[in-house]
Amino acid sequence: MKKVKDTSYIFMKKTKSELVVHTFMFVIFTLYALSLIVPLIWLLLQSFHDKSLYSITILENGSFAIPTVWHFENYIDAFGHMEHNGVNFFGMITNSLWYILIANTWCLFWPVTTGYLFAKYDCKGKKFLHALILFTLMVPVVGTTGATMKLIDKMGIYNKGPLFVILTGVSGFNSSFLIYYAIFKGLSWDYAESVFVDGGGNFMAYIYVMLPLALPAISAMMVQGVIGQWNEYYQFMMYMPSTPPVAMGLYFISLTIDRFGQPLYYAGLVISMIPVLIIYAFMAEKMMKNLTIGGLKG
Amino acid sequence: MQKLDKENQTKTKKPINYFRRKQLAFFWGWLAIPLVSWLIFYWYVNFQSFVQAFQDPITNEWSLINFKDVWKSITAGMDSPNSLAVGFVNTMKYFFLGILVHYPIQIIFCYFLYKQIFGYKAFRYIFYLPAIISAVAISGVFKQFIAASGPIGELLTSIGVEIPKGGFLGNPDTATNTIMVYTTWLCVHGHLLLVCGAMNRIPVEVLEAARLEGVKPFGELYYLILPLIWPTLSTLLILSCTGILNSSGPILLLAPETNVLRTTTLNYWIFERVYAGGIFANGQFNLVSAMGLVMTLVSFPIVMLFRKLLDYVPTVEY
Repeated sequence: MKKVKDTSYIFMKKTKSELVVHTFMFVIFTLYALSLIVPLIWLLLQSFHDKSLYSITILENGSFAIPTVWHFENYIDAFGHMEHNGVNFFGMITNSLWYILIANTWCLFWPVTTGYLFAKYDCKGKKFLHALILFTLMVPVVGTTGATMKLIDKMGIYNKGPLFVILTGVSGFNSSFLIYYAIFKGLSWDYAESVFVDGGGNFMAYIYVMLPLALPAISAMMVQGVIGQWNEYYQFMMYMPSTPPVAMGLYFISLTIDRFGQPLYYAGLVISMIPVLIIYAFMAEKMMKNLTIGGLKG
Repeated sequence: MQKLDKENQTKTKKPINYFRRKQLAFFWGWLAIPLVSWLIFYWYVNFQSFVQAFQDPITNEWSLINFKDVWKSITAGMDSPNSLAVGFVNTMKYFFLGILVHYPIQIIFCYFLYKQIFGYKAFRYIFYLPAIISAVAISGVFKQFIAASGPIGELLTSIGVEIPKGGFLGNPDTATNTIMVYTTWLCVHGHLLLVCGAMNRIPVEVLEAARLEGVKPFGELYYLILPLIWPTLSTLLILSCTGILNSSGPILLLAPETNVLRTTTLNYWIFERVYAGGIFANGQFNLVSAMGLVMTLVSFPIVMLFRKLLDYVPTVEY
């Protein structure tokens, strides 16, 4: 089957004034794109320099010096030498991975489920609860981290890694609830009713029919989530400092590493980018699909 | 006959009630766990934060000492580098930068991506890169780039620009402005997906009619596109205003020595006081709660007022 192209002439044929403006903006866009790409290329080049001669090389040949000998071993050394809080680079990657796993199974399940329940079921008190959720999302609550910290301490889950994430991750009414609510609102209830006709229950209708139908949209959110979780450092710094993930580890390493080890640090940064760039390369189209938001006004 | 009808009704009512009961059990059964979590981690925490604000941090007795300390910190003036006055000024700088500079840039970039500028697909992917790569990595590279020995540092020196003592991020006169430049550099990806998504839903026929009328590109953006994507823009604006006093930059990553560099914001001021060694050290939780309460009381009317104002802008249905 032939792919249908957007043939609207509005996008294909440009008027004279459009051509002038577009040419100007193309130059701006190109310069901006370069400003984002060049630092990444620079980072890659720096990661291959000789770590013992780095400062001399930069001093003699300038900051854009291309390595004369490419030190690939920096990447192996980065795994061996980089450490924070007694956790090496492998440990940091492991911490990032379990965090992603819990966040995309246990933690994801709850806002998806609450979104489904509010979109598809009716009962007394639902409207009030829904309005209350929207209200809490709108009120600019500030400064509760102190009280949260005390509660976490009371519960005995400070610095408890996965247990902390599991217990605090049952957040069914955060801002992503609104997105899942909108996703399920857009799905027809007829599919669930056909399950009921066949003798199935509410749980079956949700797990076997409605959830799979919403999965493409949920997975697009998941991709964004995985990238965010890989880059997460704030929650770990505040509540789980003994289990540093990659991003947090690299932040602390950047504060302590001396110039002698800079190429190793750069190699670490490159390693930290590789997984997310691979995901982005394969899933970019999914992520770029239209996202909608609205409804807080009025 | 009436009796028969009644019998039929009760017969048919029974299965409906049973089905309804199952529905209710399913609804509340699955909602129970997130509800309990919400009660603990949102309502209890907020209540506890409110109570803490009125408690003496040492004796736990009812007191206004935290609010007095907040007031002292506010009135310490701009000379005290880590005062709330400095934090407030910096917070407002970030907020207005976001609203007055970042938003227009995002909309203009999205507009030309939507109008399929040459190479728009590649640009779209590249512009979204900062959302993919860790802020730790990007800020790490940025710091090296603008250092005296970095590429931008070298370039600026070669054209005669003097690098301030300690570098741009190590000097109190330039640190906050440098962070603002950094946030502006990376602002495009902010609402790229949402704004582009809203533009992509505009019926092409509207633009075709505008072209026949001879509307110029920026006229098209101002008179057609903006009103048509207003529901999305207004929601984003409300969300921004909700976080008005939370506006900040990546201070921790770029210039965390706030007492020297005067880079603090209200949000970072709170972070510093809670993070000061976690639960085992001298986290000033009660002071933070008092400060948070003041900030909430100040920003809530602003959010409501802004919401009301946005209601006056007509929304176009299509």
